[in-house]
Amino acid sequence: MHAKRTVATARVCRNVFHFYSHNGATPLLAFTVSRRYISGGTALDADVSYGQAGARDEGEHGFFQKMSGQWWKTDGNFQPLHAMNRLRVPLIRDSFLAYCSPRIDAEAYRNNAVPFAGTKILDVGCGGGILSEPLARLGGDVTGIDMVAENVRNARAHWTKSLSRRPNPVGSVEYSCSTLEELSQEETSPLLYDIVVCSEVVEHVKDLDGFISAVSAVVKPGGLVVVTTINRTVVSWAAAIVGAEYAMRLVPKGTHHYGKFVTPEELGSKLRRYAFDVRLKHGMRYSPLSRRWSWAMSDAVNYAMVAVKNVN
Amino acid sequence: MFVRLLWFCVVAVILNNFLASSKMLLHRIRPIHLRRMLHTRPQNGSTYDVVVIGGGLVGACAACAIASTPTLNTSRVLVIEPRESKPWTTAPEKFSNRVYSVAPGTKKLLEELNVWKIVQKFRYRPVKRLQVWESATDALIVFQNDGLAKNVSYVVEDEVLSASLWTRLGQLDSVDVYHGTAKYTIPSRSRSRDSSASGPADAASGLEEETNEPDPDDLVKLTLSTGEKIESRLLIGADGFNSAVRKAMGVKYLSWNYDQKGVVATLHLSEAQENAVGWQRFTSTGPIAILPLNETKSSLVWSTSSDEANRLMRLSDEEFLDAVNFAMWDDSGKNGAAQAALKTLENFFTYLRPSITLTRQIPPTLTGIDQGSRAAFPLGLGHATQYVAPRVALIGDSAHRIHPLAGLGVNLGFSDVAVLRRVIQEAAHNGEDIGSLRYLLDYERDAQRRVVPIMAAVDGLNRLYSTSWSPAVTLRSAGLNFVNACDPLKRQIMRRASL
Repeated sequence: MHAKRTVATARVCRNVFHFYSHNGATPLLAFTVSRRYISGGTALDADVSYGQAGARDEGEHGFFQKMSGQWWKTDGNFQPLHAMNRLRVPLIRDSFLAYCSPRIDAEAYRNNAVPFAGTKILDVGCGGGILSEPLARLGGDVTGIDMVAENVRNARAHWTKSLSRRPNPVGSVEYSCSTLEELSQEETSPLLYDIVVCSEVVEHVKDLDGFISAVSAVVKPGGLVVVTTINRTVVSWAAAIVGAEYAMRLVPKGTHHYGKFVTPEELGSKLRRYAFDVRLKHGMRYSPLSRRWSWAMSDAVNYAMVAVKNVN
Repeated sequence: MFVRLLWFCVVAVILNNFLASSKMLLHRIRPIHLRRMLHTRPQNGSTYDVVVIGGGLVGACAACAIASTPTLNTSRVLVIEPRESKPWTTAPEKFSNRVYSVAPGTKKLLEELNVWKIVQKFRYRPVKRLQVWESATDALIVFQNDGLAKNVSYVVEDEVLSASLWTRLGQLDSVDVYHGTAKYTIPSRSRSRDSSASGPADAASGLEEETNEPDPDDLVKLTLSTGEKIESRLLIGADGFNSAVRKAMGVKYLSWNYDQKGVVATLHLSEAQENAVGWQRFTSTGPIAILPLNETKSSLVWSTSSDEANRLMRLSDEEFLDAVNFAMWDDSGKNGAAQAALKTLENFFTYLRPSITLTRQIPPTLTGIDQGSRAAFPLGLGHATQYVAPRVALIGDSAHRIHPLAGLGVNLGFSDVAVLRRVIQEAAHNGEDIGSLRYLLDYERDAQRRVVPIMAAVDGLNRLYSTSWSPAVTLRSAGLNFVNACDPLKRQIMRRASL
């Protein structure tokens, strides 16, 4: 029963997304490696951000301070994160237009240079702002939060530079150094955001329940949450931990904890518990040779999930 | 492989240095909308989304395409072109001696950009049928669409195409024009190449190293000849086969000269006729082509050895016309062995499909020539191994130059524009920087997939038809007749060559 549903969902997703994935899709390579474990990604800031209060690991923090100058070197260690924008930006854009906007015709959609105009977006674990900036270029008013002050400083500096060179008006970006839990406690935050993006974050959250409840607290009714993360399967263990940490030594050993990976079922049930309606789930795959992401039938390693908060 | 590209229509290639006669200069008009004149000087310190170096056909088309694409039409575009010109209201009476065979795909692009409407207002000539044959045998191929219902291509003069594009540019508010030159430096792509080739171990060690590479986010900086400094997110090199942008990129450029020259002229027919057929004959010195201009005039492109071309240029008008008619009609160069083999094959095809009759039409006799329309220019081949660098893309002749025998040169340039437009539109739609190398590499891949096979085929054809060695002659003639008899194959060729 479950397997059937997965296939059906995947098929729907392929139809929804085929028009923009045709280009980036290079499904030639059978082996998949999580981009996180190639990049060294935002894993640790996420750990720092969402761990138990005060449990910041100074060693990891130092590692990320050293890494933070690398964020915008598009061919550097964060290349897979940059490359992932080709899937996740259209995913966020199209999900928002499909689930949260009045129906628009195809031509208006194609011609809309700023589909996020007037939309408040929260980018959780924003790192250097790799995802925040394209969302702002599409007209969004983006808030990026990250636990590593160095990242936030970097992200802010990059956006200021990018803004000064930008001939056309775009949305806005504000960065702050805080956790989602802290943010959700602020007076202005509840029910503030149209879209909350948790890209490559939830697999490092110790208290998933608390995290999703904080997401739910800041999303408007009818708003959207977009999650990309790593599944907990033998394949993801092999690719992300054995492959990336031990065989290829892309990230320090012990960075990742198999036990913290989240299966789509767990994530889905948590989302439903906090008043979300899961609309879409789809596998993703990174090919280290073509250095591109593509949508995949299998969600055994990376996957994306989109949910809409119930109105009542 | 080569047969699917046997699309023989012919074109004259532009050359800067061949417009010597003052009469030609009188008619050499490159219009600019008057409104543009008011703000042709970009302000110091301004930032553009796209700067196009070179306002030739392909450069002007790229500027039109970017400025009139939704999602991109808020972009600011600057065209840098040294030559200044006056606007056109109607086409001049005299035909331009350089003409292009505009393929249906190119026409579609020009229609989308609202340029074709302007071309129609000026002047063009549809080609309903193309007949290609050779001097060594009776082999023949005819291209036509659905009983002449659809046109095979459109003959448009260089000046008409240029004037139409510039008229359209003048109507677009987001396009600025600067008449002058510019200096710029281009970031190298070598670093990204190296790192993509390197293994994961290198990637990991790169983590610790702080490199002194230029920031990939830095925009392209340009200094105009009048001193203003401007920046751009994307620089498009459309400055012809001697491209300065390509040289600044430092990419490898594969090139050779054919020791051939193209001789062009505007010729008069012996009598007025429908004149909707393009003619091309492969002779032992190179292909000669005659394309219709109107009921009484046609345009000649004769690609031949440099020595022969120089001789042709020295002839009097009467002698020149005799030479052209002789090249179109001469039967003395027939290869007996190949001809006999071909006859057998022809009988075989007729046996298989009795409906096939090689409907050979008779080419027109040429009796006059427009004063001063005769000109010659050298032919060559060139290909840049890379079309893009961070924030830079080469289009048209700056990236690839081909032999004019198939008339595909300018069409390939326009197809570059279509591909590049699609790629940067996708980048913009995904909120990405339009100068991003990640997206530009898609342009390079797609454009090269189109260009390289056509380039190889055209070069191969030129070589194949330069020989008089009997087996080669037999094979090529058999191939030509086979393609002519095989409709699906022929349709495929026409589709591919339509770009």
